[in-house]
Amino acid sequence: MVRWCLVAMLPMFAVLSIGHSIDAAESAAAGDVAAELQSFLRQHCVACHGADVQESDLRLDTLSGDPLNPDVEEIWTNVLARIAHGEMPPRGEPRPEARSLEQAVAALQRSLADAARRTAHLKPGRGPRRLNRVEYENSVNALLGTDLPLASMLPEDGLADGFDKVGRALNISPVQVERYMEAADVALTEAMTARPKVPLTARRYNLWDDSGIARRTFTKNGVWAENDDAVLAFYTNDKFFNVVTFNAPVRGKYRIRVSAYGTLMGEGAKRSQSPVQLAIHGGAFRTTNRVSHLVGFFSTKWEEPQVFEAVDLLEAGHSFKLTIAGRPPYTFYADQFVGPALAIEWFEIEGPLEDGLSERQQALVYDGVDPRQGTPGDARRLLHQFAERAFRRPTTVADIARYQAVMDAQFAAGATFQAALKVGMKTILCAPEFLFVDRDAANDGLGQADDYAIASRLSYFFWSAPPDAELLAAAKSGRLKNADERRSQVERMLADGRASFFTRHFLDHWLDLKKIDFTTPDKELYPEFDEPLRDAMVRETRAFFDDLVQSDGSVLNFIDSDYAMLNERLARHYGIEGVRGDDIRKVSLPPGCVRGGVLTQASVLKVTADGTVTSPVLRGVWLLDRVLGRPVPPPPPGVPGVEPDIRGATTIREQLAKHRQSESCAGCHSRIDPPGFALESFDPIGGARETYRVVDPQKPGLMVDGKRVKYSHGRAVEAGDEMSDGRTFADVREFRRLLLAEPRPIAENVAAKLLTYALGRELDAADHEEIREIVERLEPRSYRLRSMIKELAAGDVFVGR
Amino acid sequence: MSAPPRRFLGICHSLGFYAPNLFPVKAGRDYELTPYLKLIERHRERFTICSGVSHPEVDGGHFSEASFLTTAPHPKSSSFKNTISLDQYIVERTAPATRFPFLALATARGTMSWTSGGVPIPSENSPSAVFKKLFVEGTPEEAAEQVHKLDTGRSVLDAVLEQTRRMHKSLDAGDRDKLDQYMTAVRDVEGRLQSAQAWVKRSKPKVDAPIPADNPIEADVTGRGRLLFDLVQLAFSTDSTRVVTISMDAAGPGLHPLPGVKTGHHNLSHHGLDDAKLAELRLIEEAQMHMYGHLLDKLHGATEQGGTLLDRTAVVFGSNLGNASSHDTRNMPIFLAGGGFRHGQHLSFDRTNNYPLANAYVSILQRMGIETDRFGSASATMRGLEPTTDT
Repeated sequence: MVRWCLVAMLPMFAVLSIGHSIDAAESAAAGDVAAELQSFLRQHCVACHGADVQESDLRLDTLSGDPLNPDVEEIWTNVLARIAHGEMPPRGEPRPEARSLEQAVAALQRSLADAARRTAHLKPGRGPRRLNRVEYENSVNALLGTDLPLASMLPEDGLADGFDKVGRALNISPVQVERYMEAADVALTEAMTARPKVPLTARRYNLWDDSGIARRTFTKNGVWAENDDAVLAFYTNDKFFNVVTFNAPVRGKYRIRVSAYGTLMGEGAKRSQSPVQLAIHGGAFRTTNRVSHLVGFFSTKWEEPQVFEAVDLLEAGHSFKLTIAGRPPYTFYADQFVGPALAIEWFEIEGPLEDGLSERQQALVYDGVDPRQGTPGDARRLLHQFAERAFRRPTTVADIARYQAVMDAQFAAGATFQAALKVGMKTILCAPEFLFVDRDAANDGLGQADDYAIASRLSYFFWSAPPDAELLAAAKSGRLKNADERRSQVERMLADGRASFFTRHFLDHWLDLKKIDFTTPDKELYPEFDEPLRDAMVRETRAFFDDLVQSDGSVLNFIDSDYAMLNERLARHYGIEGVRGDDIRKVSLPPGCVRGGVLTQASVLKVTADGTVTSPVLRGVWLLDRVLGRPVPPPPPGVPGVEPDIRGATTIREQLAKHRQSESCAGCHSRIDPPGFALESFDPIGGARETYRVVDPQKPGLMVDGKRVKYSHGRAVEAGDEMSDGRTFADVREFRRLLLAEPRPIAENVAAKLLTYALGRELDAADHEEIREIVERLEPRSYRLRSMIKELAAGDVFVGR
Repeated sequence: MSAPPRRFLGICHSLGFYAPNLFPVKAGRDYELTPYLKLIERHRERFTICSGVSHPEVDGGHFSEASFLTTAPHPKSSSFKNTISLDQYIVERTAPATRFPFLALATARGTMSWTSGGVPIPSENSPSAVFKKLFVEGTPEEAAEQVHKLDTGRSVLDAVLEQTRRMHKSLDAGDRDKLDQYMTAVRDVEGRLQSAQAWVKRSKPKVDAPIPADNPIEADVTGRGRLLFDLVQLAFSTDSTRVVTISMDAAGPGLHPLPGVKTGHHNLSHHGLDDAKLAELRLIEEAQMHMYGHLLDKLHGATEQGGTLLDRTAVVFGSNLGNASSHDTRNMPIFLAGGGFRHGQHLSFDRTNNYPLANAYVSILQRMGIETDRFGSASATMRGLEPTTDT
């Protein structure tokens, strides 16, 4: 529910006139539009939102049109949305004639857009924004040639409109500044100090050797079995299979090769349908502040050894861990275990591999100057070069005079070349010219960003990184103001490996993939959830997006597609036959399959549920905001949430039905609940279901894949409902068809999310107008994703303030 | 000898308490013990349990954590702008001459501390790191390095501030807000570096305690909480700081290692009144009560000038959620302890029409000698919370 804030100062039509120029002809035309809208409001709205009655405390006939008052703007925006989506006038009232509705909507859109354009320069949120921590990390690493995980040194970034790119939420606390100083120290120390040459070593661990090598190699009290030629891991354990006899001597890349196969342990063991997987992790497993990252999963063959190889970046002192993937503990006693196991014959670790990184860093920082013999003159030249790259635009000596003075003072105080240069460079890394983007975006009097600001916008959009030489060259020659040039830059940038940052970061926020680990599925209800599944879920959604970008597919595939991006583990989760192996690939969905589009992807279904239960309200709210672009305001103060009662006395459907009978709740819940119910066909880990799972001590658990599980069938899922406009659906397939019946808002929403991400600010009515135009211009009805991205980057808003 | 300093400790855990196990029915001093209150009965005279309190217009479920010490309305709305938190307000007005003006701590992540510009102050979550910062002297080389960093750090920031000011002038008024924040932050850090330069030359206080080992299990909020509480007592006893906040975020993944707990705390908090879940939840919530009991043990057990640390330390602990199962922010479970108030009572307010919790914050501010009758949504002191007679 919106809290209508009534500031009845100006008559309603003020909002209509305010946006228009004083040109007489235009003014007359505007007057016509205003008159039409006014008559629409009078005819359809004022009876309930007027002088006599004020439903929901909203009065329209005296509502101010002050475009600088955010409350008023919000009200008109809401009025527009409710009318445009056919929710107002409410059902039961006479429907406005289609043409007059269309005109009223267009008139209101135009007024709001005009007002937004005229007031843009007065509103906060469009000035320089600081880099977020991923952008910071990439920027420092690009400057210094390092590959340091600096983001983890910085505080988490705030979100606005779901994104961590929006200036309004990218705050700067004193702690932030302190961490910038620390991160700069760490990065400069790494880059300025030549890495000691560590000779490459390779060591092979033959585990079939019965000299007790396994016990020396892995944690002493580990649990495993041994056969004639291998060590057998039979359940996934965090502790046992880390390699304790190896510690990376320095930070660097290391190659690990493992010879492994799947085998069976115990009397009567049977091969599982899926192959046994080897999981390799890197990290520090024995310290109190344990860190671990996945290197990869590798599917083995039954009884046929195969060598798996991976290269991974390890911190000094870190090691590898080898385990069987996705097998929860079944017994801790090897002699009692019956089932598939992972046999590891031997493994080999080699490294640090020569990567030339240290040399590149030295070249970037010192540019050929010998740091033992450098002069203050050399230091000034190097500092200037460094600043110009750091600031992402031409920089004169005068521009950095104040920074150079800090370095000069160090020399004057007797500092060495290296120490003085380091302080100078640290100043650059703490400078606002480095930390803020878009700082010179608005000073040409035309409200256009300059070429260098455009270059940064493009590079932080697609790479989360600073512009490369080619973008800077394009900026220098003044080409980036040209829309075609931007289109071809987008093509080039999307083809670059760094574009993976776009996919990852955009989806982390648009579809909340960053929340994939926020909840742990209940082990009794969802015993099939394991790490390979979790990993495949995220990869599916990213691959789906990448594929749409690369093939320039329609964004409507986000709602429904006749294919999915699967590997074997995920296909098994979805009940789809015939997919083998760990690689994600495009798979045509069988006819009648419930999957298709992102709404049925396990990742999305997991992040929109808690680990135990699903809530139609949470998923409904999420879908309206992220997919339809129609966020729901939070419940009004004083209205408690439904006290969830899962004891079976009442179902969530019955409780929500009560909600929808209450008029004050119905306004929003008639919109929220239907999509939520459509997704009730999927459990918290994205499995399709027809009944809810329950753990009932009175009932025996079901048999699944030959194993007894704790859960049994509960009540049946009812996924059908009625939309707020009266259309009904029986299940998620029909629901998706209803969504697709109105494709425009879906395409416009994708464009709006992309543009928010690209611009780093919240959008206003003028931006939405451009989005409507761009979507309109896209090849008729195809709404192709890469074309859309290109047109957004080519559009006027992209180069505006 | 002057009286010991007044201090503040604010703690928020993120998932509330199951209300029927916590709140007594009877108001006043002879309230009946509930299952949870029984666990800290030994401190009965030293705390007040408040029911029927919340922050008006603070909704938004888990998002309301942000407003626990600030009271800023509608933390989930898109136009939300936070305000200064109680701890920072105290720091600004009392300017304590301690090595650390405040500590913002957390068991895992999140923060309770917000600047006057509404910017979150990131927390620290490693007891060993904080312990070292407070009590462990570096090697001579580290100390020299530290001095060098403080010296150069100030000149770096001087230059940055000057340049930012110049950039600031070139911008339209509407575009300046983030640079304003940056300048404020840089100035603040300059001040910190300056006072750090004075402190770096003075030796750190010696305490009779080993460096704590960090608890690796993120979901073990009570285990981690105890480590932080031990640290807070040491920090207060040595007057290293007088203001501490602790965020206890249990909404993350992972299992609490308590025997009998098989489900994540966040999942359990959405118990839906299911008996099995409530039983498991109770295990965790009882551990939390024991943890708070441990806090009161520590603060009451440490004496100074004839009194106890607790006498001079105003403690607020509780949760931003009244009912985590429905994300309801009304009827927050709130404990007040120490700080020079007459405790030993159940302050019972209207559970339908809640009493503003921030009034308690005003009581605390006044007790700390800060003359104000307003803070956030408060306009008065808390009804029924009476100061003791000491000064």
